[in-house]
Amino acid sequence: MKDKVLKAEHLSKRFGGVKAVKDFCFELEAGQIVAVIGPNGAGKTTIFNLLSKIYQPDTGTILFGGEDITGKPQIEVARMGISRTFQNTRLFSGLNVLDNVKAALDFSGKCSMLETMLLLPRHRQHEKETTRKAMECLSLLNLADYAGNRPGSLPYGIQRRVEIARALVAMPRVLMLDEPAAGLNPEEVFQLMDFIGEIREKYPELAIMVIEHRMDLIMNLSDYIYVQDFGQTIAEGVPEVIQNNPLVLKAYLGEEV
Amino acid sequence: MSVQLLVSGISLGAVYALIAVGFAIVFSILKFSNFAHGGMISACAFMGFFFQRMFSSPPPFLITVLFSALCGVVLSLLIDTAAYRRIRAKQAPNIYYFLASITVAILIEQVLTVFFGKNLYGYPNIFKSTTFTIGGIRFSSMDTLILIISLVILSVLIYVINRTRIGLAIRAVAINPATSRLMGINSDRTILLVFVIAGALAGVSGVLLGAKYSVYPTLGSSMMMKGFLASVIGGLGSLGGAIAAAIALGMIEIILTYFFGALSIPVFLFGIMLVFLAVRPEGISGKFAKDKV
Amino acid sequence: MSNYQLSLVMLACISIITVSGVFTMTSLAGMFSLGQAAYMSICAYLTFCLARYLGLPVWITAVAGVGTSVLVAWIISLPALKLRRDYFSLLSVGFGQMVSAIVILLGDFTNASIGFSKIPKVKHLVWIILGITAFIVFMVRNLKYSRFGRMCIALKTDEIAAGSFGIDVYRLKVKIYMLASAIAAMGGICYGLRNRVISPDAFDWSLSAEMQILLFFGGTNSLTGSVISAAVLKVLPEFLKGVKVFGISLQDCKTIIYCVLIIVVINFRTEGILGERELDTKLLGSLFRKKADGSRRDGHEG
Repeated sequence: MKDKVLKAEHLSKRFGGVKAVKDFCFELEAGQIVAVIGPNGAGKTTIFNLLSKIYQPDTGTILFGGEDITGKPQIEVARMGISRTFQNTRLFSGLNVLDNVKAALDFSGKCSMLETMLLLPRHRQHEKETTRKAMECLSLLNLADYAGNRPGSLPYGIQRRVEIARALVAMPRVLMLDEPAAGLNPEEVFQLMDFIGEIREKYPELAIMVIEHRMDLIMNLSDYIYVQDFGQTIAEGVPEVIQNNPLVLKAYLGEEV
Repeated sequence: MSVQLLVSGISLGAVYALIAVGFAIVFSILKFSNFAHGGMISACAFMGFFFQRMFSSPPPFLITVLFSALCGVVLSLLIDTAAYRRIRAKQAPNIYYFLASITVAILIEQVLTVFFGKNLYGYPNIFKSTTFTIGGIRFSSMDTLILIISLVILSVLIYVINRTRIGLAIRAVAINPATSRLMGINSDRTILLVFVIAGALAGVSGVLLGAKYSVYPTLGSSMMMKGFLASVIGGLGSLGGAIAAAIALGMIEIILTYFFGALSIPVFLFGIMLVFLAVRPEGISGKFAKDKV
Repeated sequence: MSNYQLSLVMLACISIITVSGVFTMTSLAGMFSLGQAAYMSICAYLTFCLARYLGLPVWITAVAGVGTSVLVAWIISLPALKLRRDYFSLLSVGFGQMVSAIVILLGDFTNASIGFSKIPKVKHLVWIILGITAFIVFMVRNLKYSRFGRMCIALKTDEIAAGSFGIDVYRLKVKIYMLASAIAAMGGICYGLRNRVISPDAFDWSLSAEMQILLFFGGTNSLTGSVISAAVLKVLPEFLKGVKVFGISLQDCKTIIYCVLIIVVINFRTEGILGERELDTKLLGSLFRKKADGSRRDGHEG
């Protein structure tokens, strides 16, 4: 049996009087795409924040490749190989695209501040390496032309793809996409679906988790779906099952399925 | 002896409370630490001083205080118009507010230094005798007057903030300017009102401090740190907390000065600041400490 | 060059050194400190007092001076960097006031407000200071275009997002703060060597504020802008000596003029004169070779 890359058991989180996430359990295998869907306010981004350790869970455990990461801080978990994008693109506006992607690799640099300031070999090597890896990643995802641009000057669809590239460059084991299609027009959504398809081909071992509202994206791409409403999982299963689930339709009353 | 120290401490604390409140009120609305407050204190101290000197026989002290408060209001509005207004309109990050306020503070200090030099100016005597006795204990007249004036102003302020519609508007805008606007509160006018109050407070503090110590260009900035510390310890969202903390601070300062000398104050101050901010940055009442995630 | 002109050069250099220190802290890592002058003070007093009372040469005691500044910076930064930005700034003012008070309290050694004078003359001081200045600017520039520069700008823009890429925000800020204090410390030594007298009043918070002002004027993210504005604005008043407006010497008003300038800049050109632009060495090179280069990459050189 394949060891689950990411597994959560009985996660819960409350903010003041509101329980944002109640008893969330899920599993993710390498190479899988799992989706978390649900109406607004269902606690989906909170789940992401719990898994990427921006918040600490009140109860429950999180296992990453079999290892318990429940108590670990955000930075450690990020370095272990959980990568994410954000609902509103959080690219670093002070850096161009290439530097944004290089920044995701910089934590692992071996050169010290002193070596850097004196332009010693380890610094130069780090620069060469990271530029190479970053350009490779950007080229792989057809973004190489934008390397010198500032994020602010790029169309929103491209910015989103750059954010994904930044999340991929360090070769994570888990990639979490928080509403990647938000703010995209229908054509851009198709491009995004192709894009994610390409990522799956080029990074076959990568496990992906997606939060989305766009049903076409979810039903086409996911292997497994969790449906959240008011912090609880009201249904889970493969897309065909979820599509016909009355509870899901009820929660989404009025939404396009 | 110790009662005198106590009264002196409380009266000093009361003035610090005026400063802390003036500081805290601008912070709660605009979310930045208004460094210029110190400059306003110095400027008003000077203006009050010259006002008193203008007349052949000095006018009642209270009139001077009033005049100074007025100067403070004018100055405060001037600063807002010249320095802060456009920053607000541009919605620039808070750091620019802060930088602007520091610059204004230095500007005022420098202007005062250029015109009045580094001399100290003492307020002319207000009382026939500097002390009076009740029940065998000697009180300093100045300290008592300062205490009374400060307490009166603070009570009025607390009443206004908590019991009037204007105060409600201020509290609403402090929590959320956008929503307040939707509720029909004129945020811009409320902000102006806050600057008016802060200016008046700076004016009063300036005169009181100037009369107690003496008038010099850096008067405001040296006092401001204590006002800031008091509002932090009290919790920057809480007026009552700031006042309580300020009075405590005043007493501690008088006691420390008595035992260790005036130079020990900055050292202790920094130590208290560091420890307190490290251990409980939300202050006693608990708001606004760490940058929001 | 006359002694007076050499002295002006040194003045410019010291200004450049201190503003570079502020650059690393504020432009790279987004920290706004008004305590840099305090580190100048700590290092200067320690260096020159030790040199006088222990009879050691300045370049040895300088190591102790800079080392102590960095140690103090480390101790302070550990709790202070957990605070919100303006608390941190106000704390730095308090720190400055404390250092001044301590200097006065130790008046037996430091001569308190009268000033610690008769610091020995050093031969070829101009070249030493020019060298130190060039070295520091060189190092800061390298830092900006390195992994540290990127990580700093990342955390300045968005701490949470930076953390999600494994960037240890807190530790990086501590390191940068310590670096900035080291640079300020070296500025303090140069100051003492040039002026040959130091006093607590020389290192008060308005000096720290002046550094920030010079930085924001030149360009909030531009090292080139900061260096130029640091040198020019510091030296300019010297040329206005003797100019009187309304009977007040313009030089006395120099700080007032700075302040007005910066308020104007903040209000009308918030990003500073040069904004983000840097002196691009490749651009310089191509200008010299008169190459009509086609594509030019915008912004940050990787």
